[in-house]
Amino acid sequence: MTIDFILDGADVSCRARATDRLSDVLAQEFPKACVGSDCRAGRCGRCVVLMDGKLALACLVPAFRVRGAEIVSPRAYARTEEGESVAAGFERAGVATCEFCTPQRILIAGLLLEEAAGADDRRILEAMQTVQCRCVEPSALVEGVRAAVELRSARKWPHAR
Amino acid sequence: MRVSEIFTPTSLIETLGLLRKHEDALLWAGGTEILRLRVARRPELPPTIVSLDKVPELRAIGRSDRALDLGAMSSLAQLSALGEGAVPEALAEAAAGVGTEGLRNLATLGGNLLGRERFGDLFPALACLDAIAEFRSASGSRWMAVGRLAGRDRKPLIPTGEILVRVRVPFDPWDLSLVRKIGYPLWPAADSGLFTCLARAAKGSLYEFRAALGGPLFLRDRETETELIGKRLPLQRRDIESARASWRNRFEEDGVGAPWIERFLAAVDESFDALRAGASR
Amino acid sequence: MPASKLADAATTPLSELRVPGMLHVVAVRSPVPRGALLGVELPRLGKDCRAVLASDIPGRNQVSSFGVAVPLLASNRVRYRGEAVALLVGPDLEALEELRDRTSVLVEEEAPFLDFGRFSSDQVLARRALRLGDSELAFSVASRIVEGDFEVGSQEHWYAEPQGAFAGFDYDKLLVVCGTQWPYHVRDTVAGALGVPPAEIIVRPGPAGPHLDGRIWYPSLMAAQAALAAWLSRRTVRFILPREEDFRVSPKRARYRASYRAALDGESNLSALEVSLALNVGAYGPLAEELVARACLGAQGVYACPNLSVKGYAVSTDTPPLGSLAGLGDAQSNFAMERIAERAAAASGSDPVEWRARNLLRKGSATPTGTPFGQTWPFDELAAALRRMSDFDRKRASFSLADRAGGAEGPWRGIGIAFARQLSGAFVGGSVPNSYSVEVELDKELSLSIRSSAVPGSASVERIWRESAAAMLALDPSDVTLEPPATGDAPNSGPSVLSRNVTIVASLIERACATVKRRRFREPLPIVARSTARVANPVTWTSDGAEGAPFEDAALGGAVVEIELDAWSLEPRATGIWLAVAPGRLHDERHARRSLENAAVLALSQCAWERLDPAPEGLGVEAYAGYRLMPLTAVPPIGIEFIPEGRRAPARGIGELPFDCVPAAFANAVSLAAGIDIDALPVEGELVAERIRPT
Repeated sequence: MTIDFILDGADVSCRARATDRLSDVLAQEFPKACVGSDCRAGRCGRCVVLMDGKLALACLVPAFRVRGAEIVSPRAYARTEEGESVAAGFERAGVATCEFCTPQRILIAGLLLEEAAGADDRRILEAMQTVQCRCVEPSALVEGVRAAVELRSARKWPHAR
Repeated sequence: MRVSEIFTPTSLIETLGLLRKHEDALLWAGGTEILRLRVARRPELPPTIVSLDKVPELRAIGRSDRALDLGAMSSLAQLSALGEGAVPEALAEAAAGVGTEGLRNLATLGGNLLGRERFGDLFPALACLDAIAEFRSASGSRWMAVGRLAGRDRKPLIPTGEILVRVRVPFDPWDLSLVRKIGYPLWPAADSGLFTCLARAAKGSLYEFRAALGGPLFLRDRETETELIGKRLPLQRRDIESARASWRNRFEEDGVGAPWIERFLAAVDESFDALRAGASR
Repeated sequence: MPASKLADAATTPLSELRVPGMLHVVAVRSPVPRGALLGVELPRLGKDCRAVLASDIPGRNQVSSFGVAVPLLASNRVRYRGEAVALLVGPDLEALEELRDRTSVLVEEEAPFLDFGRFSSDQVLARRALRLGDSELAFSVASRIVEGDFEVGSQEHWYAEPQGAFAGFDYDKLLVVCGTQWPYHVRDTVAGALGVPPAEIIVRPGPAGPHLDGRIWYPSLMAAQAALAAWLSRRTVRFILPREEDFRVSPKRARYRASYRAALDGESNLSALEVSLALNVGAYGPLAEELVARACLGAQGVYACPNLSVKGYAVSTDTPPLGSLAGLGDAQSNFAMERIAERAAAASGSDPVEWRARNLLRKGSATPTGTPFGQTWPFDELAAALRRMSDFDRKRASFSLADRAGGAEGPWRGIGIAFARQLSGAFVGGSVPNSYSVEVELDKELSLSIRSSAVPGSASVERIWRESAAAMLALDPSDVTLEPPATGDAPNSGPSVLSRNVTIVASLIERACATVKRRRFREPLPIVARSTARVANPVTWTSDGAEGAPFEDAALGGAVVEIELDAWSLEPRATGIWLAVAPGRLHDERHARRSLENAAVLALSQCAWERLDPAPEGLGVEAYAGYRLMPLTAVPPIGIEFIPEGRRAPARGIGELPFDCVPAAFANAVSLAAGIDIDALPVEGELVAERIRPT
């Protein structure tokens, strides 16, 4: 079947079997999006994307569900202003995530920053658990998100102290 | 390799028509459990799939003073996001504990409730909450208690030829709402499940008490619960011992394995402790 | 394929590395654990696909690791379920997978060796023994004997990205990219397989992620397979395993069993140890020698023992090769010895810390090779820090009082302490030379380049290297560049294991910079200086003992773990971890703290969550589905303190200490909470339940 959807802001179209996983479709047809398809079991989180604004494990999404959807890849998100400010927060906190999970972590942290209530430590770890990479200790992730929050509020309210 | 044919109905009537025509069709709600358990690049799937995501009747969420109506295609993330007070606490807690966030945005109430191999985490919570489910078929609509989706063998009993439209969850005030996840939190396995206990006191006595555990089997015994109702609070040791013995006998008679009975009893012990702590406040 | 296309190979995940026209590879694997390979029946492959069999290999069909050869493709025998017997190469990965599913591997099946509890001498791939004093005599006069049988299970690395490799032609050279800890090993294996001089191959290490020592030799095997496919098809190929396949066929941690007997003298001090230990190293046992040597040297932990008899065996079974996971065999023996220490303290009514202090290896005490120990470890300071941070004494006393047998109410809690040492970064197995080099060049613009094949693995390590070089030469760190660690350009700096990046490599960089500094105003720029460490093999093994000084520069560390048993499942859940470490000279405290914290999380996950079913004859989808990592939300708070050792102390390797001491501290805590001896890891609630709940 032909699947039309929006990927990282662009209208795209490709042919795939209806029951192919979104992660495989992205990995094969749209390599520039750099979405992995490792475990195909919803575990490793290398395939997380934003699907219609929500975090989704692309290996659990069949192609037939993607028609008309808006998909944002972690790499593309990391290049947005929001993504860059999260990355700056991570850097300030000295969070050393690896090459494999950094964009996904930035995406998740970015979503946490949008949450009205403000995420507590448990909420941060809860959300980060979607990605199972062993490269970084939980306390660093919490510090990274906290630093990103501070940076963002400093930008919004430059005169506040 | 066989290619599945996908139907994407846009109304309930159309869905029922498709179901009549394709009796063996696989109803695709969130699909997370279907794909999670098939790790091949090309998952083996039935020839016909009916995708339910474009059926508006299955997505509706409504509430009255007495109950909350949840469309079967509500995502688990939606349930926990409705907010404090909008969803019975036990249900919100059960939904929030399923898998990871990237999964909860995809997985649905219907899919979780109608697992074929095991009871999803929402099942014991909804059963305890006395939720009822509306099933539709070509011949009409019927409501049934969620608890009846467990067979006499304590395994899932999934109606065929019908479609789960919505679940109605009554708003009852609970003095105790205890939810405990068993086993690995991030994805289900043979040793995982969820326990729920709800209790309400009135005039110093236990007015209502429900306890259920879902996993590979469904553990609940209404007779034991009835025996406890009306007892003075705090419960006497002999009341607790008698209830424990009654649960144990009932489950043993049904051939439930010792580890699950122990888990259930440990969980009710915790519930009794919580009740006592609540009573002493 | 122009090399510029792969300019960012060092930071790009393999799955994202691709060039137009690239071919893919899938492996056809043995369906049975052992037998004679009779043939491979291939379906019609079509004109754009080809198969690679062992007979197609132009050079050597092997990857050699620590003196052991592992075939790249099985030729006449298969040794484990999942061993590669053929490769299929073609442009369409899905088509290849379908072809693979239609391929038959014909094997005359034989009964496999799977149990390493009983083994025959022809299964023993390596044996090591240590003998000191007269243990028989010591046992005959012992006032008390403490015993135990210990087990540590097999475990999975759970890489950030599954194993794989990329191979393609870069003008006249073959370029190989893979996430390896040892680029020169990849190069030599690939060159050997293709039968070409090593200089014809350029290896650029890709990101390896948190590899937990699972990328020492296996990337060389996959790189050689990818290179064969590229060589024979004259095209660029990428070979990457799906995660589930990686889980089934790539190496896991070796399983460990040991029987300990300890003799205590009249003062309840350790007077003798008799240890018999075995490691299941699976098929071929590529790290057998090093693992068993380290397990033997680690058998007495951090304690002095004047009479010692240790026998260690690396046993081959017909499972996928089993080997290293966060450490090369030290951790398992340390777990056993720390459990013995706990028991010895209990048996003699001593405080567990006080018993350990009394028996600690001190300056002048004999090490297992007979050489006197040359260091003074700051044990008292370290133990005091641990007790203070964790409130150890009060908690231990209070948790000990809970009377489980009498039906005391839960939650049952426990706290445990353990100590360990990490040896310096040299190999001790006997046959691998310890020789490493780095090169630096100061150019006319006063920029310094560092060339090393060591894989830094993290930005922090890169920073440590750059900053220490800059400090030596009074440069700004931004004027120091680290050249990509490709073979050919960079000298062989050995494998990046055992914390060597911050010990050996960092000190080689400093030495090379010191040479540049000396020549700085005497010679014209550019100045190139190379420094090489030829670490004399610290141990020489004989048939019943060893000589040398393997314990030189060992770092000491300790851990306290506090746990609670889940009220229903009795699963132990950590509620706190505290680490104290004597790191010698610290390059970067934040980096060290973070590495230790991460290692503590991983070690805890291994103790309490990660179980591989004990039926390793073929890990199936069930084992994969059932493999659980510790959820982030279950990680307890972790406290870390560094114990200073004086200004002249060298930088010591400390990254593995949590893997060495957290398991025993955890088991000691669970033992206290449950009132039973926990002598096997990982610990599961069901096991605890079986043993403490009367049936």
